[in-house]
Amino acid sequence: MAIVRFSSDLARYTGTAEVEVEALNYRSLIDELINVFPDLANSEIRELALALDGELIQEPLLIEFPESAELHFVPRLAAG
Amino acid sequence: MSEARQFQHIGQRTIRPDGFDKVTGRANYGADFSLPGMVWGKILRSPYAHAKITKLDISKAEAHPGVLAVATHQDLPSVNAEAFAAGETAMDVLDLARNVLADQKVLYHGHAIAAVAAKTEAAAEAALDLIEIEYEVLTPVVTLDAAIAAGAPVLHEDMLTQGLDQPATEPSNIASRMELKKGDVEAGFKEADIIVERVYETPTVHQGYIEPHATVVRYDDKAPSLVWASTQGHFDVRAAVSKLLKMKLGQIKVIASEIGGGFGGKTTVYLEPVAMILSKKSGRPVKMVMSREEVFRASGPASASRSKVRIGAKQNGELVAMEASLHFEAGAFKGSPMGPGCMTIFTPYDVPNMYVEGFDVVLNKPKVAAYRAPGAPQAEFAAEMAMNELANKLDMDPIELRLKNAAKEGTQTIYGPKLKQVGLIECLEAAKQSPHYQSAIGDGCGRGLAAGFWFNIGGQSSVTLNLNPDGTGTIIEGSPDIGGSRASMQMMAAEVLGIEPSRLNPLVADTETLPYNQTTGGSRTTFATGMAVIEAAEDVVSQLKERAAALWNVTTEQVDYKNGVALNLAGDDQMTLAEICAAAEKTGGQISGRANVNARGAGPSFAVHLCDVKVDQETGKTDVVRYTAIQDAGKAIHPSYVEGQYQGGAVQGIGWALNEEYVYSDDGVMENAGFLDYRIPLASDLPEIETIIVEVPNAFHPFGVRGVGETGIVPPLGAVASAVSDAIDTPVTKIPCSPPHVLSMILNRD
Repeated sequence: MAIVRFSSDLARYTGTAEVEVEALNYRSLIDELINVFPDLANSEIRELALALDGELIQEPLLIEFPESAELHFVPRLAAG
Repeated sequence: MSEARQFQHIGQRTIRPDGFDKVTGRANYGADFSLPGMVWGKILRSPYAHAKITKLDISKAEAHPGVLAVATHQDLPSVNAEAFAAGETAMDVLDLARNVLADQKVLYHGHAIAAVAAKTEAAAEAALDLIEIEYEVLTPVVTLDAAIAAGAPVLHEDMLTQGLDQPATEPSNIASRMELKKGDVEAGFKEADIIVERVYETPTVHQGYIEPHATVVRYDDKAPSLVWASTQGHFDVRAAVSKLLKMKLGQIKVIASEIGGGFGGKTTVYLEPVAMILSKKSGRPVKMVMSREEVFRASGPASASRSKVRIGAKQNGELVAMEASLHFEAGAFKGSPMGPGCMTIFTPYDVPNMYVEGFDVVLNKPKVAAYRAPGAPQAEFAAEMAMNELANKLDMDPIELRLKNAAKEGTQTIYGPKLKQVGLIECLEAAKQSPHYQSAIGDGCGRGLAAGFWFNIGGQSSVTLNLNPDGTGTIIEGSPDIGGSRASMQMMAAEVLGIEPSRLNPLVADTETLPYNQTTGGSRTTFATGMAVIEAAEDVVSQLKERAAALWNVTTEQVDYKNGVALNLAGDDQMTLAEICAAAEKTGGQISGRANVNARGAGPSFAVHLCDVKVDQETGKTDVVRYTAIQDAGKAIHPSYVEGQYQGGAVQGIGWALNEEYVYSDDGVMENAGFLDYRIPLASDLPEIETIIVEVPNAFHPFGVRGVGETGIVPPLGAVASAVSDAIDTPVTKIPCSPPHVLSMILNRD
């Protein structure tokens, strides 16, 4: 099981700060989260970057992760 | 990567390939380009900070004999609100359209309203005077307090604050609110023996790049239209022009000129779409060049900010709670770097309980743009000043306080993820052992220090590496070189290929030559484009081995490649890279490698800066007498450029801390729109900026690279201001520490 920790902004849609998921890739993660927390569909979760065990991934669409992964959705950072 | 790896070229101080052109004046910058039949474009700008346009008549300007075209917002296609990356400060396409040419309402003094293309600059200037405009002048809001006050004039009637617990129902100048939490901050403060709480303010400042914005555009309906631009990201100029004018990307070719500085300020567009409209209407190439005054009045500065910070600690210096509320000015349109400010403010510290909220506030100033580590200098200034005050109250060395609470591998950040291996502790130890910190503080001087953090990013880069029959070659990259990156690309390719860097010519290609490359910025280029260069060079090495194998009639597995030489493991044969290239015609044609990457694994960079100042107690004038910048580079590819980034960031931060600020009149007119009155530091103002490169390799990069361009501007605000505070024995809560401000603090101290 991977663990997803939500920011305060996303927690508004989930009502919880963290959840365990069975998903092992990004696409199924989003499907599972929206299935559990339907309000997340109204959030900008698909526009956020993903931190996988501390590594920031700006474009996570094709990302797969291990069972024990710790996942965070974070704002995308661009150039300065 | 292996920390024990020995490099042949990485870490050397090679001659920069673009240096000769730049010191001899042969390099072509934005304003240096011309085309046959070219005409001049000029912008008419608003004389008011906030007004409705009630009449706009361009007929007399169009009738001017020298005028070929006049453009207004009506010439822009209708676009919808849509997020668009413009540096760290993302912009909405609709807002961008309304920024490049105002639509019905002007939102800051200098806001572009109309543009003229004429045969001469003088004719264009004259025609601007013929444009008839009438305004309904509105009350401007030019401070955070004025913008968020109850009943404040609202800039955008359709702006409802995002991010509130309950959806907003009334328009407001607060575009959005953000909140980050870790642990239980109130419970943490209850554990504290001592609490420091202050409000800190930073001013609006400009990046101060040398070269004003400039462009030449030639519209073409039968071939790609040409845009020559002074930009950090020509692919994103193409994207912006495409979105604003509804042109296909393939209809636009953007060439990045050499660039006289950007620092984040050249990551969006002002002139290019307007010049495209004028070129289309006039049928002529159009050149537009901003004056310095226009740069100040109408291009994006860095946000002014106000940050309320509260830090709680135990008597032994253990931090137990950190809390902040940040307000960032966005300028006329939403999108300040408030988000990165919230994410970075407390990241140097491993503290169980944190809370940060941020507000993005619009007001009647130019829309802000990115400026080195956008949002971090303002936010971390507040935290670092409070940390130094806390150290004073605890009677603790400020480095020891930081070491006791320093973020390290495994620290859970307030924005979520745990840090990977980082080098803050190494930077603090290097600072503690530095000759600067070991030295005595001079008579009448003060000493300050501050830490700083920036994430760094990766992103998309594409590279082609072509080899010639004589073994020389070209590295074709898409990242405008704003900090010596061409030399770094040479060195990284040379390291993989085992040849001298000077045998490879780095070339920044136009948007037709390579796939999309993200803008140069965010400290991504040496990391991400470097990764693409390494991958392209490795592609070349694979081909060199295949070609050698073919020539020797052995399998590829029987060929090794080291130091620029292929070795036949089945015999004694050897061939140099040049010899393999010379025979390429016989083995399948010429050799080139390529890589298209979306680089992951950018390693965050921490820094610690030390500053000694001397304050004239009678005038308030502050001189920096010694300064040391210490930062983790992961691995310094070219140490001279790394040091240059540290020094450049330090100097810009010193300017921010000591003198730089936009001074506005009550009616929203900037009163110091030129370098005579907007005081950036000169070389003669400063001592040598000493540097210490710390190298804690980034495990995600083949050579261990971390970006180095951003973090260096984060600590100076706190380091300088805390040194001033030490020198005058008064807490500094607001920068710049300009002579009038410092004198006022001296005269009013208890």
